[in-house]
Amino acid sequence: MTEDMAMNATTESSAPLDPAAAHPVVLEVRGLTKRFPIGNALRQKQVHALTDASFSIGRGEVVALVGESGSGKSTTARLITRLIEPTHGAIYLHGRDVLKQEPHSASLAYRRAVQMIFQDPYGSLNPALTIGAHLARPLQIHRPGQNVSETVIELLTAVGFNPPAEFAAKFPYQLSGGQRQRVAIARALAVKPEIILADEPVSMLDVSIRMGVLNLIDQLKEERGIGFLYITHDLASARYIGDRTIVMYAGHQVECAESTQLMSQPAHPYTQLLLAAVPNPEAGLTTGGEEARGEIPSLIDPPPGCPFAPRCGHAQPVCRQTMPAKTLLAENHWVRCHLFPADSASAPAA
Amino acid sequence: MNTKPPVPEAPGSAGGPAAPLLEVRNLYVEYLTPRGPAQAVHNVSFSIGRGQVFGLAGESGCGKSTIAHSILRVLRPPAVITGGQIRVDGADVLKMQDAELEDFRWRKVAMVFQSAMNSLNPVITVGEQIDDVLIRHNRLSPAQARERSAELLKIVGIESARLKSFPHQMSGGMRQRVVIAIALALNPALLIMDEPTTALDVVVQKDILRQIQQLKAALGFSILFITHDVSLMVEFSDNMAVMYAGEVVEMAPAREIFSNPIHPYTRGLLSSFPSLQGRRRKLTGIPGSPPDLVNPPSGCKFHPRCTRCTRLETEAAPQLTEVTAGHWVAYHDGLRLTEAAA
Ligand SMILES: Nc1ncnc2c1ncn2[C@@H]1O[C@H](COP(=O)(O)OP(=O)(O)OP(=O)(O)O)[C@@H](O)[C@H]1O
Ligand SMILES: Nc1ncnc2c1ncn2[C@@H]1O[C@H](COP(=O)(O)OP(=O)(O)OP(=O)(O)O)[C@@H](O)[C@H]1O
Ligand SMILES: [Mg+2]
Ligand SMILES: [Mg+2]
Repeated sequence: MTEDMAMNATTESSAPLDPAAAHPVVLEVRGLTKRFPIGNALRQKQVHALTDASFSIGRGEVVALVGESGSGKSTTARLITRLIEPTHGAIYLHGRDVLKQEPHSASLAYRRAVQMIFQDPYGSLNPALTIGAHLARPLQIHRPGQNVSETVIELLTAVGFNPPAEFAAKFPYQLSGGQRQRVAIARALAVKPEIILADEPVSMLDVSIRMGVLNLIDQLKEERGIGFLYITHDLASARYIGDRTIVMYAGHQVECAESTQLMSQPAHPYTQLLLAAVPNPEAGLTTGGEEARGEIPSLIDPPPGCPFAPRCGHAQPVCRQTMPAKTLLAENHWVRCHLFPADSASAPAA
Repeated sequence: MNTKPPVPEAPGSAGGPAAPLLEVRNLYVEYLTPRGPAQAVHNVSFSIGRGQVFGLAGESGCGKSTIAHSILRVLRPPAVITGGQIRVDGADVLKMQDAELEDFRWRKVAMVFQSAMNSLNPVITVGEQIDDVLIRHNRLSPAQARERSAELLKIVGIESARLKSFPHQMSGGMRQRVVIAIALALNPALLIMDEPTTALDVVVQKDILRQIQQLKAALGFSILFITHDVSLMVEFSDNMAVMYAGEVVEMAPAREIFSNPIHPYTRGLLSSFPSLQGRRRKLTGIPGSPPDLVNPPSGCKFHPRCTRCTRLETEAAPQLTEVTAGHWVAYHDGLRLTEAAA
């Protein structure tokens, strides 16, 4: 961890970021499903937080996860870190069935290999520990024998703290929101993981520092082969570093494609709605996505069919009856929508 | 501290018989650190007219939340306000006594804190938390409160069945939306929103901001809006200020800043956004690192990172100057612009 991690990457501008296609799979999930019971014993209900999620993350690959607020993105990440246990589904690390082999809790090796950056920078730091202690702890557990204090300074420098030693001595309440996010990023990097699940890691950073962090992610995937699950609401940044992007709506993965392809040729009506709602100063708040309001999707004992149907301008009777299966539209581009029936993969985009 | 010339009327406050709803004048805030005072807010002035939205943008750690906390008088040691004035609806906020403050915080100003996701009580359902505010501050009966709570949740796009949820049963964005609903419940004169939509998808975000705009049109409150999403800020705000290292470096109508940015930091901010179309290009942001607030650079605080300015760092810091009507900038070459025009 030396200056190769410095925040401001060199200015080889306009170098294409397009990665090589092959990323050997490191982590894979299949049919991951999570239902949370709510209500009392007499009237049990279930929140269908995540339904049948399947995807993989390759070595040095960034998979972006975008979509509706409350659609199961954080749940996906929390399941993979084993903070919560799935209702169904499997998790494989290097082909090893993790839930079978480590059924009760994750091994130390798994916890080192798979790191998480939590969504809420205010809830994820311990108020009683200094910033330095937050970074020293994982180092002592997972990388004993290191010169801890030196590594701590390197990590803080890498995420743009100036002067780093002073920030190491600070407590979380002394930091701004964006500074807390950078601490969380440094902490995930500390143990040299293979996979980082980054849940909105840059949402409170100004665009300049944000680009620094995104370039750092890009560099880490290139140079160390770290794979990322990058959860974000910022579609442009998903396109910037995401090799692939998965779109979620109400607990379902509804579309997945190579990121530039997804943004230029969105197939699912929800993906189209999402892209149309990206802030655009030229147009203003009053235009675009007029039809947006519609019904709020319910995750509590939801009705059958596609969850987007109540808001969808193209909804047909079948949409309210069954959830469509995946249809492959192109290599690496699939969608779950009845507009694209499985046997007519070349159906025109809606 | 008062030797500096007061900054003339900020955009949005000019004209009209009514005084602006919020006026911040020459505000200075320091955090006392072991190495000495850190100048988190340095001579900041701006105002917000009634029914107007004012956006505050700027680097992470540049003092935006500190300004918001000063207005609400919730700063704690080691923070000290070392100078300046804050007026809300004519009342001098920095002189208020505790009893007055209590009322002021609930009735005049409501704030969605940046830590919103983490600020709900974990052992009480969100419905009860909203009800509680309505019963205590709007004097509604429990039944009326429950009905109103459901309405408020609807405004922020959450089904009313979720009134019975505990905060940990909600997603990050849902918790953020509950806090927005609570702030709206209070019918404030000034609504401060500090990064209120970081966990919201753009569809929900747009929808909520539209609803807030409609409420504002009906009720006439003013908004201080803090976000790193400059595009969103331009869409939603009437006027905006860009801060760097505790100072306002540029202030103008939001659209003017977007189409005609002058300060090199503002220009850097606007040009660092990745795009949704075209070739993927590598973007590097603004080179250099954020300044040390205990030992800020001399002269213009941005000079170590500035690639445009030709002036020496030894020169005095540039003052905020009106370069075209309503467009203020603190930039040496911006000043030259006016000198040339004069
Ligand atoms: N412990 C829990 N008990 C009950 N429901 C839960 C629990 N945790 C999460 N949920 C529900 O699961 C759904 C998915 O939540 P999740 O946090 O994964 O959403 P998200 O996609 O990360 O949203 P956001 O973008 O708003 O953070 C939400 O409806 C949430 O209310
Ligand atoms: N209690 C404290 N003690 C010392 N320094 C502090 C304290 N609280 C904040 N600071 C410092 O004051 C500066 C301004 O913080 P503030 O929270 O106002 O920033 P901000 O502009 O809101 O940033 P962000 O966009 O990251 O939220 C930061 O550099 C921060 O480190
Ligand atoms: Mg989340
Ligand atoms: Mg802040």
